[in-house]
Amino acid sequence: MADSQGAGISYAHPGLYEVQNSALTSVEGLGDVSQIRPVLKGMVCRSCQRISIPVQTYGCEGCGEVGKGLQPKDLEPMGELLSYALVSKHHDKSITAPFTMAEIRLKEGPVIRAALEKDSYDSLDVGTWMEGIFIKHEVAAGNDNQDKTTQLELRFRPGSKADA
Amino acid sequence: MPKALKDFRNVYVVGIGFHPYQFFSATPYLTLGLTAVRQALGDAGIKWPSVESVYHGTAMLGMAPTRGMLKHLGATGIPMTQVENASASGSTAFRQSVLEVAGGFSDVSLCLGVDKPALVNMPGSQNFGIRPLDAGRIAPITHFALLAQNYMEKYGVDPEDFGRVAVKNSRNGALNPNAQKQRALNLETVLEGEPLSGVLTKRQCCPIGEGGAAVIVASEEGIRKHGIDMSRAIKVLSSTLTSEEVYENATDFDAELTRHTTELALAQAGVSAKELDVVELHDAFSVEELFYLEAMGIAQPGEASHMLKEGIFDIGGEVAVSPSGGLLSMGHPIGPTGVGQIAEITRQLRYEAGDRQQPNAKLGLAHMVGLGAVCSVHVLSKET
Repeated sequence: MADSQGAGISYAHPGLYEVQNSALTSVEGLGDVSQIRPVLKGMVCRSCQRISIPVQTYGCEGCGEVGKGLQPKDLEPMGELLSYALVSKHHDKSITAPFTMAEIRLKEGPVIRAALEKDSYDSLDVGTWMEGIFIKHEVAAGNDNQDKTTQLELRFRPGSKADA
Repeated sequence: MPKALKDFRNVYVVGIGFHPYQFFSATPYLTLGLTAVRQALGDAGIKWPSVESVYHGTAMLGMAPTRGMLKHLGATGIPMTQVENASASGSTAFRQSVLEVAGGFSDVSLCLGVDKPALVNMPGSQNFGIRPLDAGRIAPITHFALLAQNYMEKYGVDPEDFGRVAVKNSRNGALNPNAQKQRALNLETVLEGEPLSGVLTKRQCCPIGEGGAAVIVASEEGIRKHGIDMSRAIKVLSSTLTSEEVYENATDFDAELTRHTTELALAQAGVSAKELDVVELHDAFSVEELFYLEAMGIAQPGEASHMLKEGIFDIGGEVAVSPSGGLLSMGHPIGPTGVGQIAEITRQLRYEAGDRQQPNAKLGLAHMVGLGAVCSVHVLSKET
């Protein structure tokens, strides 16, 4: 798992998502982080209007636009479940299985593939509305005192479209 | 307007050779490659000095593996090039040999594929510059497990329908002495295998291994000049290579890429999908065979599993699909894979495939998808 301290809040996958409320600068000591609203760090191309994720500066896959034509765009981590798979075994030993991966069409269009909140589900229905939430991990703080720090990871779970 | 292969000199496959595909071993890659090349030279009935250029499909051997291997045939000073295009490395190397001969730069060109398993940097790794949201959790198998779940929902098929692909291809592989897996499996064995991702069990995934495959192509001048037996020459009708575009269905890009590339290849060859007698395709995972047969137009959407069940894709059926055993049983040593497909199609079109022979085979197609993604399709024909 990647490790980043960021600007006060540590994320498992820095640059891909963050808390929606920029006033929140620390999650240390918080019990339930699933109530913190996340945003996905996407981008929009001003030339062809293509919305994509993750944010990057190398160029638009749709039209090749680069530079100021590519604008960062926060995307709501909500959308329709298109498919899912329970991964029982992974070739990379640093990735612990089992876990469940989902394919989700975000309400703003892009299709993403991301991990679900629980490792496995008794049943999942394609078409279910999904929402992104944070789960937390306690990871080494990186100092000499063997301190722990809270790291946020974005996962998805079945939600309610009414909350969208 | 870009030209097609038919606008240039005719190109023929005149020699094929293998080192059997196998699980990782202490066998040096020199042995894998030289065995395949010597067999191909013998099959063509020519000596090494007749070869004027080499393209070597490899993704796992690292920098400059070719000359150090082929110098043991006698150093003749000919151009040698490594070609890396992920799973399509061998297919792309074959295309380079074909273009070399078609363009008149060589009369005889060797295409070979040799690889041994190794750890390689993949797109999405630290050096790539962009980190994906899945954080490495989506291995290729899970990409196809997600597509498989989607396909099941869309067409009402069940895991057994995917498992039957592995059953058929294991039956074919059991007849192929060059196949990495030579044991016929029943459906129960396939489905009860270790679950890896989604509906995919271990028996529905191609093995990782090593091997060698070689193909010699020649122009009509080359065939005449070296006294090659024209009656065993197989004509390359078309050679296409494309890369992924932006599709409406963003995650099903392999099938979209296959659809587009196959359309191009068939059009350039002047034939239709319904005329194909033999197909070797990229069945790294069982589900891919159904996806690609539909993308190629051999089956209508949602119909491939029913046709499979009816035996239409068996040897002796309307079109033999992966008579070599496919990637699932023949194996997928990366560099050799696409070259081996051409060799199998050639064997079939020469009527030299023995127990695996598709009756009356006249037209064959070879298809590989490479991570990235790229797609290569070749159409070959037995001229009468």
